[in-house]
Amino acid sequence: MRAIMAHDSQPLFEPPISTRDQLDSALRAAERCRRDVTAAYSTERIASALARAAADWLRPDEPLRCFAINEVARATGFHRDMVATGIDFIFSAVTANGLERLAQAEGEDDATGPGAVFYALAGNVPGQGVPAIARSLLTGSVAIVRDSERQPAITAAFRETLGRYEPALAAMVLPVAWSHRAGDRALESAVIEAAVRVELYGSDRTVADLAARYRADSSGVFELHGARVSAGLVAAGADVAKAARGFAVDVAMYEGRGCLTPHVILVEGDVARASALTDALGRELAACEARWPRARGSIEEERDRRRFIDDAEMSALAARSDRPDAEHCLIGPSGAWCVHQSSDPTIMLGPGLRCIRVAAVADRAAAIAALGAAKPLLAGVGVAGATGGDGTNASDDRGLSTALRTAGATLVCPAGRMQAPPVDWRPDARAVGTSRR
Amino acid sequence: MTNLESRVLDFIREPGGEAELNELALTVFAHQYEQVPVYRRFCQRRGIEPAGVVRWEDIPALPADAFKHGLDAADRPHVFLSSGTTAGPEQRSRHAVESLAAYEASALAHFRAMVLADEPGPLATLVLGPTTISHPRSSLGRMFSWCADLCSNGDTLVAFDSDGRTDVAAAVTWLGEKSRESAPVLILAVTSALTAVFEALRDRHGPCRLPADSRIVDTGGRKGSAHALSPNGVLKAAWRWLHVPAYLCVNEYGMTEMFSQFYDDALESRASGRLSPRAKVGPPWVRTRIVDPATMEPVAPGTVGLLRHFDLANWESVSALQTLDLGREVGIGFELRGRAAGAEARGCSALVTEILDAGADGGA
Repeated sequence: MRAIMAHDSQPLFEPPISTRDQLDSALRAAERCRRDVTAAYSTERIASALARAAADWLRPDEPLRCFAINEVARATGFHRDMVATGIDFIFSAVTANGLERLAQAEGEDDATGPGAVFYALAGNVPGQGVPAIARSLLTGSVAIVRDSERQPAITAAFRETLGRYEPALAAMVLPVAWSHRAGDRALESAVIEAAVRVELYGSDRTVADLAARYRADSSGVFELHGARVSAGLVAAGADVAKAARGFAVDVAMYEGRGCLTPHVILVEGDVARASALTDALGRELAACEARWPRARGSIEEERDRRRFIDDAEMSALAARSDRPDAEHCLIGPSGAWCVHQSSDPTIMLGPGLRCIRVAAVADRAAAIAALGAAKPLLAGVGVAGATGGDGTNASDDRGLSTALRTAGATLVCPAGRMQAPPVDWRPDARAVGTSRR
Repeated sequence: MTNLESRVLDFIREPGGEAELNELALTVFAHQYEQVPVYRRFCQRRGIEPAGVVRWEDIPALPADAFKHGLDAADRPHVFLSSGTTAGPEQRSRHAVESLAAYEASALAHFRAMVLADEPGPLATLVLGPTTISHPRSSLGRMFSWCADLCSNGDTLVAFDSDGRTDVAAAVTWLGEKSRESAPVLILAVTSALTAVFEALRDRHGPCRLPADSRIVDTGGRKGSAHALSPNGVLKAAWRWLHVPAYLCVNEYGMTEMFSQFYDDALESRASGRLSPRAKVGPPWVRTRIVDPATMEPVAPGTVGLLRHFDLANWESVSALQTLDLGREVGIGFELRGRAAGAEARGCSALVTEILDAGADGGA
């Protein structure tokens, strides 16, 4: 990790634990604090500390926020302003209401176990450690968090902020660091042994590899969080231009790497309506490109992206003579973004990196059927609702929300808010049973 | 035979210089612009017309996947289909032409240059891959048949059936017989079939010492689902199990969408006394550029990017092809760094809850 120093060379926050000795010492301290917290702290007190620490991160002049923005932008290639927006999304979700819902959900599911939970987080989107920390602390657990090497800053920095309000809670957060590639078997083994639950996030291959690697060291419960797919839905009667504005943010944010990135947007109605959304989305993605220039992916990711663009363009060119409206393709200057209006409403992962497919569906039933077919991989559905012409308030249509959840969506939210899930959102929408060692 | 076909064939027989290639390339482009509607629309989308193009480098490169979208007229007599191993049978490329003359001339001329550069004379030939008889719609099958006919001393075994099964036992028996004779052997193989033969030798029969100057041409690599050795694995196994040295092992890279091929230059460079790192080299009527997949602009020398080919032998369809294969410039050719394949799913949160067997008596 790079130097975690302010300009005056004062440490901004304590760096992640990187040795076995540091871990042993931190675990002992964390366990002492955990006993104190469990005995004396109310849920409201813990939630209040978390909310106040989160509020600090919403202040533009907060040094830790500024540091994290720069560090994440450097490590991921995401535009700095995009990272800043992402940090606003992450920390504005850590509210008293959200934390109360989270505590309630965890309590109902009896997910809490005395001890530590280890989270190995993916590098695709920043700030995944924040809800993990909240969940652990609200349930009286120690959170051991390994951020991706691509996201090295936020967990340790947030711990520092939390310490301003409740040092005992901060002591229950243990950021750890090692290279997955180079590894540190002694430290890794100690972490896995200490954890009663292990949550692994990343690509399917990564989580499977890590689970295989950690299996021998643990008798705890493992949760593997691999690939998921999200989608958008423009309800009949929704304002298409407004929907496009929201979905453009959802598509561009984190360069489409998150499991809440929409890969397909379904448009209730005819092909002309899908075309209208395609055109509007193209305009909005062009505006996004001006605001947040696209970050490059790896050579393989860029190749997959090129495949999407080629396929979109070829489908459009080939379809032109017989069904001129069915396939339509818009590509930004220098291929900065691509909107493929397709006749295929199948929900599937695309390459991300600002490539999105739009498809018309005849009616609500067809939309629900298409989304339901993606179960159990379906994660979020962003909705441009119809009620009152307000395309950004999904709660206008509670029936739709219920139908989408029944279809498998774990998050239903307005267009433009897909990358800002509430703090109590979990990909599986439920807690996992207590580990009994 | 059309005038344009004659000119292409003349160039293949007696390749001209850069200026001649450029002039012919522009003529071919104008022809394709007129004859291939999808390609014309593709160019028009970019505001490019033949009259405005003066360098072959500026001819728009059509994605090779366009051949999956019905590029050709339906009633052409010669139709080749890709195997569909990469993207599934419903996503097969289709390449249809009136004449095979340019394909044959290109395939044989470059095969001679790269595989027969040392003029070994007639060869006993083992085919571990498709032929025109077993796979009439396979462009590779057509090429293997031509090459076998060109090289064979009359002793040819095809140990590959129409279902794609390799007759490993027959191949091993045949190789054993040839190892006791003096005539050098040519093996034309898809890499997966060759791998199966190596495994049979390893597991059951032991090594087999083929006569000097025997050579292996393999193609396909790890593309598709079949079990196949890596390029280095093929080189090691060829020496270990058949006693064929690495410089007589030539990996071919080709595609249904393109009538010319690329070969490792190991044999050719040794025959010509040139020492250079192993690279894939195309014929003089082909040009290859390596482009950045994000910008589609040429990359700096040595940088990995997407391979973009221009092939005069494709004069009837589209010559400028943008592939999704990765490569980087090496020596006088390029190193193949990965064939196009399906993308790995990415994301952060498909829940596949696993409760470990050991010690976990609770359930999710």
